[in-house]
Amino acid sequence: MIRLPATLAAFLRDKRVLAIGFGVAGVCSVIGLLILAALVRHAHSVESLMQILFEEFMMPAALVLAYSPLAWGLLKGVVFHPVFDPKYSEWLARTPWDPSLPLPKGPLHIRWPEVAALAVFTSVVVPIGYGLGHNPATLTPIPALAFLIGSALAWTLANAMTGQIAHCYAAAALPVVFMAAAPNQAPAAVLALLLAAIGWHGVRSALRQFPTYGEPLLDGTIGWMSTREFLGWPYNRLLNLGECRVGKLRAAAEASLAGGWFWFLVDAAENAEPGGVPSLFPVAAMIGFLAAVLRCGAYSSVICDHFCIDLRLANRQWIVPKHDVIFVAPLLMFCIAATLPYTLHGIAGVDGPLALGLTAALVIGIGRGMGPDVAELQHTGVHSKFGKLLMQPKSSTKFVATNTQTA
Amino acid sequence: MIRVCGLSHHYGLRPVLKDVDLSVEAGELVVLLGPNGSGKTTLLGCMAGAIWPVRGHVEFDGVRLRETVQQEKQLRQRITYLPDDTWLPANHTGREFLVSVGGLYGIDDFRCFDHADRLLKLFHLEEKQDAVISNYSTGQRKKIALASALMTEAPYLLLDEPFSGGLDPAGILALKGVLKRLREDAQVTVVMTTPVPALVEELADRVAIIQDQTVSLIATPGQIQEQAGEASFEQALGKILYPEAIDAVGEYFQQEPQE
Repeated sequence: MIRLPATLAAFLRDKRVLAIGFGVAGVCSVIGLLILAALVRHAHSVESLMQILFEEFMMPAALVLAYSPLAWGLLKGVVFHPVFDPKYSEWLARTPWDPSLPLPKGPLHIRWPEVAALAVFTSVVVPIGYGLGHNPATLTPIPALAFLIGSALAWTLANAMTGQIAHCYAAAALPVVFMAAAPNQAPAAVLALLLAAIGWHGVRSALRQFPTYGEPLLDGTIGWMSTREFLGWPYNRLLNLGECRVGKLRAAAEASLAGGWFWFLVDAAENAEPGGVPSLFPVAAMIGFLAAVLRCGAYSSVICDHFCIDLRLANRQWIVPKHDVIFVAPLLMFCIAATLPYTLHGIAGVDGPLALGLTAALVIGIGRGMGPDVAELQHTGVHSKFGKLLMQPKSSTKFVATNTQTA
Repeated sequence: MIRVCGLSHHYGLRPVLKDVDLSVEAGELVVLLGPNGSGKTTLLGCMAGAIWPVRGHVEFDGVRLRETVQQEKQLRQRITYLPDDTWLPANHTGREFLVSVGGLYGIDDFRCFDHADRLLKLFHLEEKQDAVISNYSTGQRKKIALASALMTEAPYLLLDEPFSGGLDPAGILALKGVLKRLREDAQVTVVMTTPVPALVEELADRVAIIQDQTVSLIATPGQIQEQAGEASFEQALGKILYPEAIDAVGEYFQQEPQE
C-alpha cells in the first residue's frame, strides 16, 4: 500500500469534509445542469453534448476553481482557531500550550501542502481561462489571492471575537482607503496581502494572550464560559453586559469607518447610475430607524424600567427628563438619518454620496458614543427609578412612586 | 503533594462546595466519592484550575494555582486533568492526537512515538490508530482520551470518571493495572472519581467522601468498612452514603399495585 507523507496525509484529512462536500455538490450540479442544457438545446449527439459542455460550463468551472480557495482559507481559519470551538479552547487552556508550540487541532499559518495545492489550482485555471480568451497574467494570482482573502476574513472574524479591535478597524478601513486612493486600478494583490498581514498579526497577538485574550478572569473560569451565567443573580446585574456605548476614540473610529464605507458604496452606485443618489435618501432614513431600534435593543435590560407608564399617567407628566434621556440618542439618530441628506444635498449643495457618508458617520457616532450608558442608568441615583428623581414629584398632591408601583 | 485549603464554590446562588480541606500525598491514589451533584467534579475542576473557586485555594508541592504566569505554565506541565466529556479532535487519527499531546507536554519526539505505540497497544487500539477519531466508538473514544492523559507523563493525574463512558472489561483491566503501577513505580499522584465500590476498594489508598458540600470523611477503604461495621466495603459505603437506598428498593416493590 502506498503511504502518503504524514503532513500531506494530515492535510488531506483536514480538508476531507470540505473536499467531499465540494466534490459531491460540484459533480451533482454539473450533471444536473448538463442534463438541463442538453434538454433545452436538443443535444442529439456526443459531439453536440461536448460543445454544450464547453460553452456552458467551462467559464463557471474556471470561476469556481479560481475562487474556491477563498472558502478553503475561510474554513481553515474558522476550524482551527480555538476561539470558534469552545470545547477545544477549554481543553487547550488546561494544557501547557503557548504560541511557540503547534496548535493540536491544526495550524493557522499557511503550509507547504497548501502552496502546492494552490499551484495545482492555478495550473488548471490558467489554461481554461486562456482557452476562454482571458489574459493568463490576470488569472494566475487569483487562486492564491482568493485563499489569502478567505484566510484574512477568518482571522479578522477571530480578531473581533478575541478583542483585537484595532486590527479589525484597520482591516475594515483598508479596502475603502485603497479604492479611494486608486479607484480605477486598486492593486488587489497588495490589498489582499495587507489584509492577511493585519489579520495574522491580530491572531498572533490574541494567541499570545490565550486563553483570556486580555480580559480579566471575572468569573474565574477559563475559556468560553458565560460570566453572567456563572456569577448568578444579583451579581450579574453589576456586569453591564450588552453595553452599547463605547469610548470616544472607538466611537470616532467606527463613525469614520461607517461614513467611509457608505460614501464609497454610494459613490460606486452613483458612477454606475448617475443621478440616482436622491432615491437612496429614504433608504438612509430607514437604515437610521433600524439603527435607532438596535440602540434601544442594546439598552433593553433597563429600557422597560424607564417607560414608567403608570407614573406618567398618575402624574400626567408625559416627559420625565432624567428617564427620557435614554431616548435622546435613538431619536437623534433617526432625525439625522431622515433629514440631514436632504439638507446637505438639497440646500447646501453637498455631493450626494458625501452627504450620505456624513450622515452615516454622524448616526453611528451618536449611536455608539452618546450616553448615558447602561451602567449609569442602572446603578446611579441620577437615573435610577428608585433614586431621588421619582421621590420628588412636581406637586405634593401627585402620586409618589414606590418600588412596587413603578413599571 | 496536593493541598486544598478552605475551598468554597457556588454556581449562581447554588452552593456546591463549602470550606473543603483535603491533602493528597505524593504517590497516593485518592478517590472522591459522593452522591450525584455533591460537587466531586467541581472539586476536581478546582484542583485542575479549570474552575476558579469563589474562596480558598489549591497548592501543588507548595505552589498555588494561578499565582504567576510562569508558575502556572510550569504547573500545567505537571498536572493532567481529564474531564468526563473531554474534547477530542474528530478529524485526527488517534496516533496523531497522542503524539501532538506529547509534544504539548514537552516530550521528546521519539519517546512520543514509542509511548503512543505502547498506549495504543495497551488499550487495544492498534487497528484504529490510523483512523480518524470521528470513526471511533464511544468506548474507543474513552480509551483514546485516557491514553492522551497517560501520554502527558505528568506526575499529577486528575481523572473524572475514568472507568465510565463505555470502557470495555479489557480497558478497565488495563487502566487498573496502569494506575497501580504508576502509583507504585513512578510515584504518580492520582485523584479520581468513580462510583464503583469494587474499583474503589481495589485501587484507592484513601477515599474522600463528599457530602453536604464538604469532605465529610477521608479514610482508607478498610477504615471505612470498620467504621461502618459492615462485612463488605460496598455495604459500608451504602450505609454511609445512601442509608435510604436499600429501604427505597423494598418500598418500591412493596408499593407495587396488586393485580
